[in-house]
Amino acid sequence: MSEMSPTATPERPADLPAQSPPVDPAETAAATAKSDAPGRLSWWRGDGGEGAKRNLGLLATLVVLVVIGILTRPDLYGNASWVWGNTLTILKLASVVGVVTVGMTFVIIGGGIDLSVGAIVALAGVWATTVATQSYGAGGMIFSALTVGLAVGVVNGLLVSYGRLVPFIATLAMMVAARGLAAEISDKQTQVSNNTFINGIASTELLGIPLLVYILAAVVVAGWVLLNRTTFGRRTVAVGGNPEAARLAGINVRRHTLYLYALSGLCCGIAAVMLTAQATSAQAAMANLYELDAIAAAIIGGTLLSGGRGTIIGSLLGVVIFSTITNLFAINGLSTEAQNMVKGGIIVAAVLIQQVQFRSLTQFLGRNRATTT
Amino acid sequence: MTARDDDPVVPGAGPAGDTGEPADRDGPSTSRSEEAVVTRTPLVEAPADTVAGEVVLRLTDVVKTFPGVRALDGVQLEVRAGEVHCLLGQNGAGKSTLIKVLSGVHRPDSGEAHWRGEPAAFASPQAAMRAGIATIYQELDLVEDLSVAENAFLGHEPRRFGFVRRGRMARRTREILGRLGHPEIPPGRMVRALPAAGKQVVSMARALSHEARLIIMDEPSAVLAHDEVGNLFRIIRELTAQGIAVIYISHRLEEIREIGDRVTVLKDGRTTAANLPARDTPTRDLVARMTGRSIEYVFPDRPAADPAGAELLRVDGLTRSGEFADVSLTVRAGEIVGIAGLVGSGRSELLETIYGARRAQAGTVRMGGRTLRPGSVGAAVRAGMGMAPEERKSQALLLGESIYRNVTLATFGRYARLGFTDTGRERAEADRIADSLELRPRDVRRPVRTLSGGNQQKVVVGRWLLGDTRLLLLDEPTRGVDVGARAELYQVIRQLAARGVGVLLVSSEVPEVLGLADRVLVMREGRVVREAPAGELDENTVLDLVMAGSLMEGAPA
Repeated sequence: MSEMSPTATPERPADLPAQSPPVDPAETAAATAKSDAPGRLSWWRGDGGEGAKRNLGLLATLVVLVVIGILTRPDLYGNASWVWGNTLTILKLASVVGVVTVGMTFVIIGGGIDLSVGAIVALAGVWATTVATQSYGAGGMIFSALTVGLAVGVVNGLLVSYGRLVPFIATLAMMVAARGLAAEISDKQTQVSNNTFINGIASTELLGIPLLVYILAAVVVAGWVLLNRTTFGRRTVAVGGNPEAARLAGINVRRHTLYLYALSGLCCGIAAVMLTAQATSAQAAMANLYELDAIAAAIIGGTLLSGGRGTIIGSLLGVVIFSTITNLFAINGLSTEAQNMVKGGIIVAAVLIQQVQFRSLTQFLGRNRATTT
Repeated sequence: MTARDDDPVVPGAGPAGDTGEPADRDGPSTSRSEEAVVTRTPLVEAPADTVAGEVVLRLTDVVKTFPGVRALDGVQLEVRAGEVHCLLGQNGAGKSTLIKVLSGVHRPDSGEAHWRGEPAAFASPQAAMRAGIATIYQELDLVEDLSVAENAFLGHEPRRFGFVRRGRMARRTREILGRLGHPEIPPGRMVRALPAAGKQVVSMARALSHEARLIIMDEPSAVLAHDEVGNLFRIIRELTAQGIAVIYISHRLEEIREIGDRVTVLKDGRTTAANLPARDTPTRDLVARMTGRSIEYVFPDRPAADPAGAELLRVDGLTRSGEFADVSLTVRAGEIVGIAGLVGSGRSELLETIYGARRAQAGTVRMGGRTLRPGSVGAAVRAGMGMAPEERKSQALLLGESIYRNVTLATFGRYARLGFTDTGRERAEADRIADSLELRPRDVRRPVRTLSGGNQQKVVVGRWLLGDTRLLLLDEPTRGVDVGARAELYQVIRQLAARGVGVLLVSSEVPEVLGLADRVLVMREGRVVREAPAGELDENTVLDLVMAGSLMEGAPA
């Protein structure tokens, strides 16, 4: 399999401890690697080398969850059309948090964190559903949701990059402030959306698949391309992986950091439209704790909390795993409390497994762990 | 000799310090007689090279490797009770690694350690502490928001039934502070409220609370003001008078002269000289062992520098207070200009300021006649500058990323179309660079962290061979690089110059500067003290210039 090529090293651990460089045994490896020609990289190689392997682990987790579903409710899983419908339910459940998580993944890879995403979704949703905004129609509502999300993200970015606040503090403050503003605007009321186009976003299906799932797919694809195929993505990894090296290579670290928070805000704006459509209303308390869901999904998806490493696919799988668990509990008629406990356990397990994998991999390479800054 | 403006850090020496010989005897001996009153041991009589104490620590052939670097490559060290044993060496010579081995942070790969006569392995910092080895790091590892007493007894507070016996702890702290000659520091004071010198005393109190027999001090004078250093020395003498051994690390030779008994010099992870008498060893010997020719340098033939090369870089009156002052220099196209100077001479800071990574307080940097925006790396890079910084791993590399992505870190934008990266092209360009630099391993998709130090350096230099770099700033390009790769790097640097690239090279290895550069600037204490074509200078002249003005002038040469 071609995804083995980036991790070809573990196959020859015996050579590596010899560190005297001029007689580097790796020359042989270089020779073999060269013979299989450049350009034979699989499409997900771009997703960060070791990431591909991790994503397989997440897929395996997902399979295990489905198997548990089959074992606990064989009656439902015997019905093919129910299975299809249930899959769509899971994806629909994942769609809003999924969009938020894509933005979050960028911020975390870039070495930051955004605690304000849930609050931004709420503020953008409330702003888009005021009577005044609704009078401009669906276009006005979508425009204002996206603009509000972007603007709040820009403020976050300014505070972090140019105000030099610690990301945790800056976005924590924004989390509190944005919810406050949302409550102020909505007068603590639930604002009902009367716009049939907006409300239709949640109920429309194309080719039997909900529009929300298409939106998620579009954001994920765009995020993947942005991270793996553009200079923006490359800068994100550089800025998060080693900000000093990035700076000395001529990358404008501060400006890029600003962009990352702006991107996260924009994703929140999109999520606000989706969530408002689902609920046909918006209120200051909506999207509660989305920041935690998004961070948890990114982390179990393999994004390094200290920055410099992470994948969009991993984050997506993280979100889907969480919504599958929710679904699993729902079809078995179990309480949400038990569900939250399991979620907590999964987060810990995922991170533990990753650490063990990473440690054994580096030990395998005969070196102690490189700095993660 | 050139301007010998001020003698730093000579407590008690006064203005007479200039004449060397009397000052050398004067300064230390006054404080020494004071100290003789306080303590019993007549240290004054003990000649430096025959310290009477038993050997407490002996290291034999200690080796420690990290990925790509042999940080320690056969270290010998012998420390006796009651002596101040100085460790001398450039940055990267292995001093920090050695400290970490002694304090149980790192475990050596091979070699023997004997502690108080018994074979010992310090498995953890706690084990080293228990054995009686305490380390005082440069960044004092104190908890700012705990009191003096709480810091002194951190982790081993006197307890009864799980409750800290605060009274007892305060009493013992007061007693230890008294032993250190600082009874005036209140044990209940928050550490945050103390000045740097006071914090250092607390660190030492912590060491004594562990009943340390060996205290390692990593550049303790670096955080102190000049007049506080005398006090530090007084404390050190108190400690040694009580039979405690001190390993003292400093870049300042004059301090070693004053406080040290014996000196061990490290270079490239090896002991190049052991147990030299601290006071009588000629400075030139010490410096030569730190910076000199421990390996054969192989320099490519020097082509005649093209005198007609256009002026590329012009620096005028560049100043950053406390780092360097009023530095002016030029680099022409195709010229290699070397800056020689010891650590702390301001050379690295100068380079980073020219590059825009630090903002100058005064002065201008011009590239090809155009003044660069100060404090902007982006502007410098756009003007055609590139830099290989001093600390490869922390300042230049994305260790987890592939070689080619590190090579193209500064240029990937150029190969992109409409913001979309062209990794195929990047790999091809990186392949080209890897070929021309003879990078090993050759596969540019491998993570850069699997490379040796020399090859990592090639990646950093190679980064600037892409694009249109006209001026390359190299800060210690061969640190931690083995002999073979060194020769290759020299070749690369020469070839670059031959292609018309200007090179500004900083190195603490004098032979390297002389062998590689066309023109040499010697820096000392933030100023350029000499500028000359490399052919007009020899190693000894440069060493003298680099060291001049410090107290060692008084030492027998």
